[in-house]
Order: sequence, then C-alpha cells, then structure tokens
Amino acid sequence: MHIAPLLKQDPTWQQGSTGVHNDVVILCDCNLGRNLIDFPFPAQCTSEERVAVESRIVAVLDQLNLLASGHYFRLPELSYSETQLLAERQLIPHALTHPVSGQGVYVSQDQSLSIIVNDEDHCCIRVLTSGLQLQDGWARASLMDDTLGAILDFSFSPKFGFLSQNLSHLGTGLLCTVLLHLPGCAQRNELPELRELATSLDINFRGVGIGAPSSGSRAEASAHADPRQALYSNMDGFAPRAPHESEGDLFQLSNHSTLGRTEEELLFQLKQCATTIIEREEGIRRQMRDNEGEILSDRVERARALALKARLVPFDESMSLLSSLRLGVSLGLISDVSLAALNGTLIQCQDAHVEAHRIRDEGPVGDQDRKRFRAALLKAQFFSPNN
Amino acid sequence: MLCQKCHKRSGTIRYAEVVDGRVTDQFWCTECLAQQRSGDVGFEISEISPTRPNRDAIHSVVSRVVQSQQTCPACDTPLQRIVESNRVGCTTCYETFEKPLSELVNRLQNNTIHTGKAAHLTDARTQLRSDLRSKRSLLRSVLKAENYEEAAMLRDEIRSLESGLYISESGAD
Repeated sequence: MHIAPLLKQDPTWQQGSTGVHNDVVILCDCNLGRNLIDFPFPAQCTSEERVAVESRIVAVLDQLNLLASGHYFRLPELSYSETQLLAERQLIPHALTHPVSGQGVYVSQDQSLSIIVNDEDHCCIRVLTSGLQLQDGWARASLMDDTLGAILDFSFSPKFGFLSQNLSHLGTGLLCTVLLHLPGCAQRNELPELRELATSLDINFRGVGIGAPSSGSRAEASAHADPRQALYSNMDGFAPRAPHESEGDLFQLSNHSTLGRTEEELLFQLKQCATTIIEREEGIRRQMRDNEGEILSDRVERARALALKARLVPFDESMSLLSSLRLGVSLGLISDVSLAALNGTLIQCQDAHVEAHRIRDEGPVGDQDRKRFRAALLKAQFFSPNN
Repeated sequence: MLCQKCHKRSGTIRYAEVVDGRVTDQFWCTECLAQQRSGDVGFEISEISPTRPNRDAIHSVVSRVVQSQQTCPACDTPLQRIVESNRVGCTTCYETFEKPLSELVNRLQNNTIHTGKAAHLTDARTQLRSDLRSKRSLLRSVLKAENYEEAAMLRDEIRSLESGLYISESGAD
C-alpha cells in the first residue's frame, strides 16, 4: 500500500486538544488556490500539460526540501481505496478519488498540510487545524504560498487578484470551512436563525451529509456516484445538506465570496460568525445541563450503552452516537473518553478506513462486517490508551 | 420597478443579455420573460445561490448569449461556454473577455476589485501600501462589528505602517 506511512500516524488535528472551542469546532480547513501563469487552467490542460505542471510543482517541493518531511502521491498510481482514504482524512477533495494523469497530492508528515495538484487549480494549499484556529491555518497557508510563489509564477491580475478557472474562487483564492458540532442548537430548532445570521454576514451555513458532495467541483465528479459512506469534502466544504437533514449534528460554515475583501476580512467575518454560533451552542448546553439534566443524561447514557453493547452499527448511526457521546464529554457527563478519541473514531468509522483495517487484519468484507467493525471501534474507544 | 419590456407589470426578474461580448441588464416581468424564452435560441447560466443576502429579492437571473462567436485566442474557449459554466479556460481569457467577465464576476461575488494579498511583491513600498490597504479594510469590518478594542490596535498598526511609508518615501526622495 503506497499510503501505508500515513496510516501509521493519526492526523494532528485529530488530537483536538490545542484548538480553541475544540468541544464545538471539530476542524477548520483553509484552502488557497493558485495557478501557474504559463499553462491553461486544469480543465483546459491536455494530459501532457497536466503532467508538466505536476513535474514543475514536485521539482519545487523537492528544491524546498519538503519531500524529505512529507510524501508526494501521484494519485493515478494509487488504488481506489487509497484515494478514498486520503479523501476521508480531508487531504484531497472527493473529486480526486477518481484521478486523471498529472493529479497528485503532497502531504506533510503530521497530515495537517496538503498541496493538491491539478484539481480546480494547478495547486491548492490546504491546511487542517483543530478547534477554531482559522488565523493559524491561514498563516501557514500564506507562508507556503509565499514560499512557492517566490519560485513559481502564479497567475495574477491587479484587478481580479489570483486568477482561477472558477469565477467563484477569483481574488484571494481563499476558501475556508469550519466544521461545527451543534447538538444543542439542533435540538432547540435554532438552525433557521443560525442560517439567517450566517447569510447576513455572507457566510454559507449548511448541514453535513454522508457521501459525495453534490455540488462537486467538476462535472465528472457527479458521474462517479460514490456508494461508500464517509465525510467527503471538496474545496468549498463537505457534502452539503439542508441544516435540518444534517448527520451527527455536524454543520459547516464557509465563506461565500473570495473577491473584494482581504483575506483577514474574510477570516474575521467567518470567525465572528463561528464565535457567535459557538457561544449560543455553549449557552444552550449549559441550560440543558442545568434544567434538563435527566433528559440529557438519558441521551448520553443511551449512546454510551449502545456504543458498549451494539454488535452492528451503520455509519449514520455511528455519527449519531458520536454526537451524543461528544456532548456528554463536553459537559463532563462522560470522563473515560476523550475528544481526541472521538475525533479518531469519526475518521476510523468511514468505509475506506474500515477497509484498510480489513486488509491489515484480514477482517470484515461486506456491509455487515463493516457494521460489526464500527461497533468494535465504538466499544474500543472506552478502553483507548488516548483517554 | 416597471418591466422594461412591456412597461405595464412589475419587473422582478433581472434579464441579462450578452451580445458580441457586451452585457446589457434589464428588469422584466415573468410574462415577458416566458414569451422571450419560448421564442429564443440560447441557454441559461446557473442560478445564483439563494443564500446570497442581496439577491433574495431577485427571483432568478437569466443570461442569454445570442450571437457571440468569440473565442479566446490562447485556449480557444468560447465566451458562450464561460458564461454557461462560470469557468474560464486560461489567463488570456480574462484579458480577452474582460468586460463580460467583470459582469459575471460581479453577479457571482458582488465585487470586481481584488483587495487582498498580491503576488510577486518585490518592492518594499508596494508591500507597505498593500498592508495598509488590508489593515484599513479590516478596520472597517472590525468597526462594523463594534469590536473597539481590536479597532484601537488596528489604528495603531495603521499609524505605524503610515509612518514607515512616509519614511520610505522621504528616503527615496
């Protein structure tokens, strides 16, 4: 397996202990799209041109000594399960699970930074952080942009900013997503208000769905309907759902515009919106603990009992159980599980990760075996050494 | 606003037409639009996301490319395809179709002028000016959100940058 080195290590953001508001914010990702000035944009490139773009970028990564502290994967050389694994770890967009020649990804040692080659843009710098650390994510992406931009000539116009094939990504080329866990707001039916608040700040507030993002970055992405269950994303977020249809009480905030505002302004607005929602969620959680203690304990204990005793768990149910357990941990009702362990289980419960364990352990094969494996994972987290 | 075609009913739909690279905007009523759509040959661009706050009032945005045969000299991408898909072929497309693309970008992003980070900044003064522009822009947002503590810090940073620019310009003279 080409990506075996990645499987030996958990992504840094999964630890979740360093992020601000890490009980509500699971993950932030900052995507910065850039294109080389002397090539057509990726959708217009021939196969040879894509390979030439890839070679140039890989040569620069080598020159910067980044290949020594990370891995570059030529995606067509990987199996379908391997590209899925990368997508489940949010290192590549879902569209690249069916790659064409010249597409690849550089992944840093700690899996917090990836450089995606020849997707929507020739080069997309993606930084993943735990908790609400948008500024840190942007600082790291910007530094990498400066480093690469000092050697590569990026397509730029003083009027339109950084040029992209997608007119919606023009300007800063910066697309950020905040993945939030909002069981309180969902239970109190405050989602329409939150959506209104986000919309007034030019921010998208959407639910999170299982499977391929329906608004895929490329037309061909939709041609590969993916039956596998996972949390996939593309450059502008996870598979979008109407807020009331969201899985596992997970919701996403992302900036709508990329032009006309500075990167700092975009981040400020996104952070402002996220902070308001987080404070509301924390307030509701406190009220639930103080006024509805019995109902809350019932929900958490039921989830705990199911996690410990269930034999077969589908992915959507595992999301729902993880939501209740996470709520219990954040309110101190469960002390023998950590947020880091729950983040890890969220990743491991996805189909390609289950598949990877099967290859290593000669374990489950079919759908029922996946459910059995998920049940074992949920049970195991109560005995994890991370706790 | 009255429909700009029949001048009788209320014009609630923005109708944009691109002919030979020039965009004309009008507000039409649904009846006039239906009449136009039944007799015309063309295609629609995707509808703008309903989540945009300033576009909730607009029921739908329809654009038709009627006669444009223009293509990009560098990558051969037709303007019609760009309008249809909101996707551009290469850097030269932006120069060739600057006017219609400005219209499209304005509809998608509500803005056409980049104010963020710039590429290839080698001149220190250009960098300073760019930083100043960014800070001033951020200050506007911070003040709008009534975050006065952060605004005060930003003002100090702006003063410091301005004095740096002054010194740099004096030195250059």
